[in-house]
Amino acid sequence: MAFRKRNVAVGRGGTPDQSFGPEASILPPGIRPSSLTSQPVTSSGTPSLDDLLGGHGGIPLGSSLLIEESGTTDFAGALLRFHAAEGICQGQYVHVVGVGEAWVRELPGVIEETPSRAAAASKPIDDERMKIAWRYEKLGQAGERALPDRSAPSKSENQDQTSFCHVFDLTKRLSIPPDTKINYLPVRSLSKPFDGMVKSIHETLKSSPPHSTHRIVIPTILSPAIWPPSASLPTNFLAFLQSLRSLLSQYPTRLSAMMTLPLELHPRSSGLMRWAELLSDGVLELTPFPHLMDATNTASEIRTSKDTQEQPQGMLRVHKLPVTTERGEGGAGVGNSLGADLAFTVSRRKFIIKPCSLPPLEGDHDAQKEAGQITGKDIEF
Amino acid sequence: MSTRNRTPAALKPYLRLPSETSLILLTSTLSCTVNWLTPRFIIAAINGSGHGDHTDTQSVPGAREEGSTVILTSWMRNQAYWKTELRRITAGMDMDKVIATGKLAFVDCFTNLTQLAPEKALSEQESRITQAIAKANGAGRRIVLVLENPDILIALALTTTYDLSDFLLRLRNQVHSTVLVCNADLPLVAAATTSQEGMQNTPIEAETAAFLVQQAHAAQYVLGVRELETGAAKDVSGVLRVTRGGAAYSWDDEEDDVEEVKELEALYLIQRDGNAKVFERGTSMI
Repeated sequence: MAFRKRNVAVGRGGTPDQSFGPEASILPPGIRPSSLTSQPVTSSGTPSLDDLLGGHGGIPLGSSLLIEESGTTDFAGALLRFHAAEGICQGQYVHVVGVGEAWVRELPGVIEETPSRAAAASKPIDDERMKIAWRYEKLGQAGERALPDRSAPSKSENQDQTSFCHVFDLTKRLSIPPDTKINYLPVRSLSKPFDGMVKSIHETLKSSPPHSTHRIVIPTILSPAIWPPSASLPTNFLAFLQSLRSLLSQYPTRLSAMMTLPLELHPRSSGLMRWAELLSDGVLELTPFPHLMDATNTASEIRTSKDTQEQPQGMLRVHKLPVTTERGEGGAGVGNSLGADLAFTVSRRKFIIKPCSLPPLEGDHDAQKEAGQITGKDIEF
Repeated sequence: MSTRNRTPAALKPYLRLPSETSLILLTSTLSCTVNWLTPRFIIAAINGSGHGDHTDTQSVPGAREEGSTVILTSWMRNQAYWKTELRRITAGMDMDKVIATGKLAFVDCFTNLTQLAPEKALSEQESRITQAIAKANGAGRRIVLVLENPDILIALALTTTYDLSDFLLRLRNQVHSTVLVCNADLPLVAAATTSQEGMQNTPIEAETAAFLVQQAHAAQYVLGVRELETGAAKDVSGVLRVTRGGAAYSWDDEEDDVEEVKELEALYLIQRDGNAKVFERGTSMI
């Protein structure tokens, strides 16, 4: 144990980033210190997203995550649902902005993994572990620059993992415990849709027990389905994000936020969106592949069933990471997924993010033939 | 304190106390923030550079060694953030203690920004900054004003380019020199260069671009950081570019003793412990 502690201290330059005083030792359920900065982090409800966030192993409290998605799909919504469901499972206060109870009732249910099933599920991973060196074992999950997991997960830590992050099934419905603390913040005004929301969250924070943890969930912000057109005015939207940022910085150990945003109406090249990104602590962009059905159909003929399951459904790019980007690290450093080509796959139970590598186009025999027939005639100087 | 060792040698010329009335513009982008550079400016100004070759003020001997008082005004981050960052970069500097000695003052324009009445926001913040300057003036040290991201006032439509530059001029008038930090992402500056027909720029885009260009012309030099054009790399955090601002050219003719700013484009790497390395393109850093 002494060995591991010393290891962490070396990486941190001797000083922990934030001193939380005595309460640091009694972390509430679902909160653990970041392996990077000792800041408290909470799970996003998706293990592969947790692994992606700059080596923190979750969303650092006091920060917000903006997930943008192009096209008309709602893959980001799956991430957000897992996130909200995780918050309910951890007994955190959940503030739901813009949508009503119907959205919460549709949240994915928890799968109770019995020990035997859990063991069966982890068996193939164990096999792989025997083949590759232990320090590379995390590479498959979070990109080339993944942080080598220093705290080699032992049996007991696997136990921790399940209490930190649950497994959800999108086809099941979450049974919401009666004592769940959900604060609905519906759109009340057409001219100032965000009015009073941050204030309400702040009041809940003040009236709740001092060690309670809160998470804010904002589905499809600015989407015309929920929000009036005035929501996209900078005086409304950016002012809301600014006050949210201010609130998050006032509660660096108790509050986190995640929101999804459809990019169709508000492209990333606009000044408004850039400011929205600048005001968020983490920015992810999902780009689903357009011809999803064609791709899976042809692929399934050739590939094995296992491969088909893992056929990526889109690309994921990280534009900003909480804490890490603020410090100016850019894409450098272990565990830093900034700028990496990542792909995501959504299945019933999992949202998997992993490095993307496109296979050579199969069946393109002409191109392959020509490639081998470059002669002197083709290259003229 | 190991402050000096942690400042890359290539950066030192730019961190010296700038000449009187000068403006230094620091620009950043979404994934390459300039937050690693701003604290180094603050620390260098507080400590004083103490380089003998740059003493152009015989009237106040030893002022340079004493260092200046820094007034840090932040629109995007709170005091807790700056406290953590300053401690991390200097390996142990306590911001509260430095504030107690009067060498640093923090003006928080971030926490209550959107709670102010829009029409009063700018004047309220100006009076608080002016108060901090007046208080620091009593100590007799020179004052360096650091303004971090006032461009958010334009994004929130709390002010216009015209009013904001007036605001800056009024503040610059009261201090020795000013360091201004702004965002210079492509969507925010594109309006200054591209004029696509039929494409209307939104007020944010047009105003921010106008503000940035104006400040770059008024600045003595501009330090900009941005992403590598080829994408993120493991051993490079971003590109640092130092260019002369518009004010550098007007000074060269009048005064000989003002040192010429060397233009520079280099790569930099921020390590996890907060250490920064600046190196030329093509040279590998060890």
